[in-house]
Amino acid sequence: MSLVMAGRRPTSGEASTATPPSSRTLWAAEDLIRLVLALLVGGIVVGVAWYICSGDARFNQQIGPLDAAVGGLIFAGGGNVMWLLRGRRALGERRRALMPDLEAAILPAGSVRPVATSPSDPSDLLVAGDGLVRYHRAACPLASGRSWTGMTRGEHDAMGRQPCGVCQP
Amino acid sequence: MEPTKWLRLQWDRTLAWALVVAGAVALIIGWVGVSSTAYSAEQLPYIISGGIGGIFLLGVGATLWLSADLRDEWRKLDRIEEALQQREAGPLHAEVDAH
Repeated sequence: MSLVMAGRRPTSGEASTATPPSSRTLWAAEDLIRLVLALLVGGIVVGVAWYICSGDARFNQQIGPLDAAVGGLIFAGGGNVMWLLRGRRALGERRRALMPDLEAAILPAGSVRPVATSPSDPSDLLVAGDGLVRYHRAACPLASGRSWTGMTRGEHDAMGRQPCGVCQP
Repeated sequence: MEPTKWLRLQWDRTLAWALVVAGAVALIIGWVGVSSTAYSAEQLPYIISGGIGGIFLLGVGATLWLSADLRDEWRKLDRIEEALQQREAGPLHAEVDAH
């Protein structure tokens, strides 16, 4: 369990570092602690509510524990939902960092601009597709076979683009 | 694959199923308990233990199951990243070998 759950959650910024895949984890340790705490607190509240309720034969005195039990259930459910949402978000961030240009694959061929010509040194240029948020080295696997526009890093930065997490230009 | 090995590898789904079954059993026991008496004061403990407790267990089981799905997807991304890194390193290694 700890193999997958413990450790740091990768963020989009961290994804640009060349970390081996095995060192990244889906949930951080604090996420696991939060989940366990929510389940423990919720479970204990339900258990105590049941104990109090079963020891009292007066209906009016049982309403309070019943409310508490429902509250405990909602609290534990909130912990579950938070856990799943954080997992989903981590997955989405990593997927976007790893495959930032997936949109390019589904764009019609005519919508991609041809490569800019006559740079002083073509190896200085970094490429990116129209409307995409990451720029790449020309030799990046994610840019191979694509006729993307070559620009300088400053131009990409000015357009609000970020460096690719794979080729790390 | 041997059942024990499968259970070890899929511990999260196994536990999820166990919790879902336990939750269903709790709900049934709660229903039996509630239906066996006409007094609200006697029914409420069953509602809390069987009903709310059962929903609690079902929720934890469902969370575990969905977590297992998310983990599977994470491992797929691990493999994709590894493949991309190997692809990136491939031509460089070939060039070094050629020298």
